[in-house]
Amino acid sequence: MKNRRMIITMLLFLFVSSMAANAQNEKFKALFLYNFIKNVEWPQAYKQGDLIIGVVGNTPIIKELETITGSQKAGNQSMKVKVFSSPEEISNCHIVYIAPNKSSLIPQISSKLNGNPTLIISDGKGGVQQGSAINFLMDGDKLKFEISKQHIEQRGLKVSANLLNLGVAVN
Amino acid sequence: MKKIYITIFILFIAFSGGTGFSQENKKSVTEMTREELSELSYQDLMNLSLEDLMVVANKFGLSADEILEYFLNKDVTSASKRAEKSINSPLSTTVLSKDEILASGATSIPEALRLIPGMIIREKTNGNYDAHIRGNDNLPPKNMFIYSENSISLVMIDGRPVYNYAFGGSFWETLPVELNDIDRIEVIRGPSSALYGPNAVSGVVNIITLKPEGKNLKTDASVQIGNNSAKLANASLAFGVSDKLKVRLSGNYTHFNRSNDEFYIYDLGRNYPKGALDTMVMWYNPSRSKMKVHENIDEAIPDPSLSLNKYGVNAFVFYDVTKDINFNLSAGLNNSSNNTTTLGNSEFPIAGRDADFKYFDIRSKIYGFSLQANYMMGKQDFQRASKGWDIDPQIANASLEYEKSFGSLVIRPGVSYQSAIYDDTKSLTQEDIDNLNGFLNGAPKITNVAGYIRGDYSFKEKLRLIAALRTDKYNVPSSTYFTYQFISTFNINTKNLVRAVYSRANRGPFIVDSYANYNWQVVPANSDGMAPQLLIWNGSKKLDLPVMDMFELGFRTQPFKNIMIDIEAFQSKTKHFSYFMPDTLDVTLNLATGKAVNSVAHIQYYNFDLASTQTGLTFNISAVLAKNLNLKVFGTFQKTDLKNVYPKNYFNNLAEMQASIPSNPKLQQDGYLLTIASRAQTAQYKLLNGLTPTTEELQAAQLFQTFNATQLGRIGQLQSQGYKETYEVYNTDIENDKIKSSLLENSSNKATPSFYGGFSVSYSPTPKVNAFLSSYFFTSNEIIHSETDDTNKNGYDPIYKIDAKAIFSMKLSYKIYKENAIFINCRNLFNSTSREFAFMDKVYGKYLVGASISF
Repeated sequence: MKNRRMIITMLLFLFVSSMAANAQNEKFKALFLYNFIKNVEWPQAYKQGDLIIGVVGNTPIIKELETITGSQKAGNQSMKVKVFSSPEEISNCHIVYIAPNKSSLIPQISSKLNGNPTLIISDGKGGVQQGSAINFLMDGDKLKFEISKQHIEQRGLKVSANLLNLGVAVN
Repeated sequence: MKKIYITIFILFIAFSGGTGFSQENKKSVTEMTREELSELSYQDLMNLSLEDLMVVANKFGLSADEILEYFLNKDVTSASKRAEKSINSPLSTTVLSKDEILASGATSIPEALRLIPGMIIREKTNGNYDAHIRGNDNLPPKNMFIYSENSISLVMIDGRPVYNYAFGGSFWETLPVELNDIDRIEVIRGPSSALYGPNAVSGVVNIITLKPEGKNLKTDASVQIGNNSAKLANASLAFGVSDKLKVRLSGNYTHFNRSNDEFYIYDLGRNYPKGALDTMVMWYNPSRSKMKVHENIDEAIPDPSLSLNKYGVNAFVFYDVTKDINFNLSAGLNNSSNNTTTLGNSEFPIAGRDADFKYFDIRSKIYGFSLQANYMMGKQDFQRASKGWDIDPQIANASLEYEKSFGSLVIRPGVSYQSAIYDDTKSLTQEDIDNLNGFLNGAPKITNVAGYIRGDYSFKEKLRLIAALRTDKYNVPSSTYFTYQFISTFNINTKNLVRAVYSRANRGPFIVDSYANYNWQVVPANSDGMAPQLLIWNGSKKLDLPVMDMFELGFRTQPFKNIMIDIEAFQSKTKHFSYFMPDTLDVTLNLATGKAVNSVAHIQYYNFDLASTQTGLTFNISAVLAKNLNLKVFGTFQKTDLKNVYPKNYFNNLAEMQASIPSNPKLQQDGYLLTIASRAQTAQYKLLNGLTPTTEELQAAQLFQTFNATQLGRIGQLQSQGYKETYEVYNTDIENDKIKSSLLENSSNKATPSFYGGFSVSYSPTPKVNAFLSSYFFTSNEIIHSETDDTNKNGYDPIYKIDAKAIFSMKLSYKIYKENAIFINCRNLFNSTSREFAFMDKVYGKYLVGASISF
């Protein structure tokens, strides 16, 4: 009798644990990303047409980004979200966000986009070291980002001092 | 019951309209509260600068360092009366946060204390608890239940003592606040009356209530239902009238039934249904064999299945005039009925209690001054349908403190006044009062005027010295008590601290011990004339108050970033215990038949030479294994040695006095006179009737002729009294108001378990899910009670043994949306049913389901 009660309790525990995910962080990551755009300057040629945000991997951030891009503009440019499932598909993006489960593709994407004015944003430990310009990281429950001035500027982008100050500098 | 629903309903109607709570977005995000931030729209967020956005994003979470700090090193206000980090706390202190309490699933404040080291928590009947800090249970031993419950710890709500001054102790069911009102509970182990006032002998439980964070309307409510008719509900509303004026209103309701509806009869050693109590005569007790077990059981215990039914309603108002001036007002009421331990003598151990209190409490800080004044009044029936136990309290406290810094020295002097009146006349008729049928038959008062000062000196953030001195002047006993606490801490470095405490605390006087004035007429009369028909009970205004001295050494270390270890070793010595004792017995004998026709016992409160020395060690290890996985393990090892234990109880005293009647010199003299007179009379009769008297009769006749006028007068007097005379015998164990030291023994106190402790694990696999597993355990312990158990009738030592026990509890909660959650709550998960308190109910598991909303 006692064993059965214990087993039921454990099963309930497993059932409850398997449910639910937290979208709160994805919302703030999208909002951060929108702010990165405000603080980065692309070459003149890229200040026309749509501002393209590429996302590699299937992630809840896509939905959040679409909410923002649906109502906001970057200067005069409209923003659009493009979703890629592999590095090969990436082309002509202002920003590429690489989802945490695609972190292994950072070096490949970085070299593919060599010479392009694309801001590469990764999401996971060691992202900047592998070639991204900005990397999201969680400090406990707090959302922070690492930023590499070098990785941004070597792609012909300009970054505001404010953004550099707010991020954790990594070079 | 209706009252609370009506109140909650009115509160909702009154405030849920939401008018006047419009959002003020003009504030910068750093100034906004969590509530205000949570109200921001997506558009608002998109308009924020990255800097502000980071503030908003992170207002809801904690960094890894902050998580460690939050779980391992909470703020405490214990010794300094200012918030400081746990690792720096100079006293043995544990803080239980609101989040931990809610996650744990504890169903009441005393149950939540099972998560704190150094607490001995025993469940008596379902939902009714006794809580001891470090022990010193059952002193003096061989006594009534009232001495098994804790009367040497001070419970406070926001600094307002909630103590029973009638005869000591904390009645948890009479607290107006519940877990939903609590911001945190701080427990201080060890004598602390220099800092907190009388009765903080073994420690302090300080319950600190919530303060609303933001200005927006916030509603919280929770309901739980479970087996044994468990129903728990609470609701609260918090809102700001302005940035400076905030209000919180709350209500709580708790109901538990007992696990059975029977009553244990001591002399029979088994349970009987209620119906048997007022039909069954006490055939098992020769002197009371014609009496019913309980005459008016329907009045005493109308619902035998009830364990606890209570509600409370509170209002809290916070007015922050400026940074340096604030006023807090709280007011509320509570009502409770429960069936739990009896406090006096009874044939069975469960009694019904009722309480109905109202209170208000004002606290204010004006620059360096702190002022607090409060008043509590109401009705309290400690033992329903027993004359004398319905005693209404009126308790007032006022204190004024001033804090001033001189460099690294902070001085805080203060004065306080306390008055406790207990009035039993309202429940008595004039005839009752004239016949002294109540305990007090009046409204006696104990007062206490105190002056105190605390100095807190820090030297280069390494060494800290605190001295607290206090003198209390009581009206009864009319003496002044000086208590102190000397505390030093030394920071070896930021992660290691050693500390030492030397302190003395005293318990305050009790109304009943001081003022008892009670004639207990045994109705119907005992059939055995020797057994007292009347007990005359008197308090003493000269009792020395119990005092505890303690020396403690503590060490706190954070060997790794995520682990905090706290160890305290202590030795305390407690003396000046007091309790009542029969000192005189007046027995009226019929000298013609040799039988007792009446007996009156005189009982008075005395101090005892009993001294209790407790030596122990408490450890507490907290670890944050991951941000979503916390672990706590704690325990206390202790040993209590008793010196000068008086090995008898009051039944023994009465029996010994009864046995000494035949050797009473006056009785022997009267017996001699009457025997001689009677034999002489027989000799005379025989001679007149031509019979031969015996030699004995002839000798008596000769002796009788030598009797002087006094002797003859005495015989005449006895004749005229129908040969009935009263003889007084004394308790010869008492000499000069003290028990003869040759009778005292040394022993150890097994009523406090030699080891007790617990552990808890909190795990959140996702932010929406929390599982909290906790355990509480104690080793076997024994209470030596004055009532005998049928299975253990061994004269002087009626020992009641409580087996070792481990209780596991678990709460699983799932947040459906934001902070709105559903949960399963199992207390005593594996239904370990052994008793935790002598003679009380078996303790069964509580299995509850519930939901909480917060918006």
